[in-house]
Amino acid sequence: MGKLVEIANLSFSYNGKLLFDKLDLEFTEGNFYTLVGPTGSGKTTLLRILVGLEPTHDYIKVDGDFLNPKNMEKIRSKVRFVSESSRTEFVTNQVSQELEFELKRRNANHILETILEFAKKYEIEDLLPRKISELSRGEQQIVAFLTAIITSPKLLLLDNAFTEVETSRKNHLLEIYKKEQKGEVTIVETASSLSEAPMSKEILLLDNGKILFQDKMKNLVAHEKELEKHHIELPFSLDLSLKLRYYDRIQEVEMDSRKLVDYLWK
Amino acid sequence: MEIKFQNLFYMFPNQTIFNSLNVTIPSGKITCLLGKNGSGKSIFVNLLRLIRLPKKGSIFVGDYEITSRGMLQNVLEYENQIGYVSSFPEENYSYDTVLKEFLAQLEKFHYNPAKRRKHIEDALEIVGLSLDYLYRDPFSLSSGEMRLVSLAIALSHNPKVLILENPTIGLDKERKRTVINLLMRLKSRYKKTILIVSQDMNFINEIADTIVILKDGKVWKQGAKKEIFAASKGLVKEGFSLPDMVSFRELALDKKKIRLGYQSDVNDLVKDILRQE
Repeated sequence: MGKLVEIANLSFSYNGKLLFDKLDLEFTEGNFYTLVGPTGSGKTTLLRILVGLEPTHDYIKVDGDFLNPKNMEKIRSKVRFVSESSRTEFVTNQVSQELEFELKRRNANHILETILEFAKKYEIEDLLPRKISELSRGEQQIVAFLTAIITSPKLLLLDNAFTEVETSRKNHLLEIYKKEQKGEVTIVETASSLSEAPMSKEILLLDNGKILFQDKMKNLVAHEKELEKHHIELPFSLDLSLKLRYYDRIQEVEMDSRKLVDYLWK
Repeated sequence: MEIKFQNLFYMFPNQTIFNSLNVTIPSGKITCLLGKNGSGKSIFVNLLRLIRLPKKGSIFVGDYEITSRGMLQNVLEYENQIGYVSSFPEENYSYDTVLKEFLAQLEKFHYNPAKRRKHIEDALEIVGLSLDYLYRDPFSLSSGEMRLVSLAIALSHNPKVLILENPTIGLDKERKRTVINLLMRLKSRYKKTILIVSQDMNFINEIADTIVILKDGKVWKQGAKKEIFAASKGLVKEGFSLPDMVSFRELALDKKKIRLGYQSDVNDLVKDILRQE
């Protein structure tokens, strides 16, 4: 799989403070990443840089193009950024109209059909005719997410995009999306703890201006001390496993709750 | 201060939100309000903040009947008793420094200028933020920092009731622990009534005394946290997520017929597992 995002030697200051210190980063196509870091470590800023919302002259490539004014329009058409405030950035006041606007913007064909099929897939048919201002905050965040994915971005950045949405609903939507996309989208989400990231494939720890490690979720136990040092909560099963291992109740850690239960009481 | 909703009706032109809602939020305890998206959690909070008025019914907060006409004279006094931390802190910021945000709040409630500085410094200290934050632009703060600042601002005027929406967003383990310890202290030492709306089930599992679940315009379930989470199958069937520890307990029971006690602390769960042999 190709590299979707390459960042080399990124240095960036925010509010007079050095936020990124010669930071290197690579995202591969089709993967799901969770970017964790303590409060204020720069997670949001890093994502904003990728979508061109913060100026930078450093080596950053998105889908093969350098991030510069000349390529900005092209890159922006492939990257979507959804944050907790995306629900205040709607252009229209009706759910179906908002989806229509997105599709028209990308010169899509068969707009009505696309919207209906999309709504059926994501189980929001009843939301289509609703006025966005009359939706609850959680429903608005769901609409913001769907508006971002209906045009099939290559890179989807989620920064606290589901703060008002119940976890089960959020996971359900992401499941459908992942199945749909079949590895054609790269998703990067931010998190302050790992108990929030059940579906992630690779975890990156950001602190003190650098990416301290980037590794698959299944290898997380190797980074346990570092996560602890930077105040990141471990996923539940891993945390429980480590504690049980300490008391010699089990010999190996298990990241999956079901497997842990099996292992504990064979 | 106990909060009581009596026969409350609230509707939009095309939608009924509350249909004779009756609920009591106990004084001096931490209550978590749950409900599916659109079940009325925000409306509930906005009714308490006097931002919305019910169609019918009464709301009592301590001795205030906030839905009565006579309330108009006591609005400021009542608002001084309510500390609110929004899910979107930015929406409530108006100034270019955190200090000005504090001052605006204390000015509103006519705090003595000579004493303001002390209230502000104390508030920052209890949420664990340094005084440097006073000179920061609130809009330049990270998500987690904003929530802590907003919490400090809400506490600076010493309200008897605290309403928090999604207080753990953007908070790492250490900051979350500070907030949890703070809320516990505010409850036990300062007897504050705390109402939390959050999607963070693990946080709720740790901190709640009581849980109220809204559904179809009424209270679907209300009770002690342990009771509510003990009936976890019902919650899952309704589409709610469970705290990790509660899920784990369910798994152990379903798959291996192992009965673990209900826990809200992982260390207690560990002890329980070690006891099972």
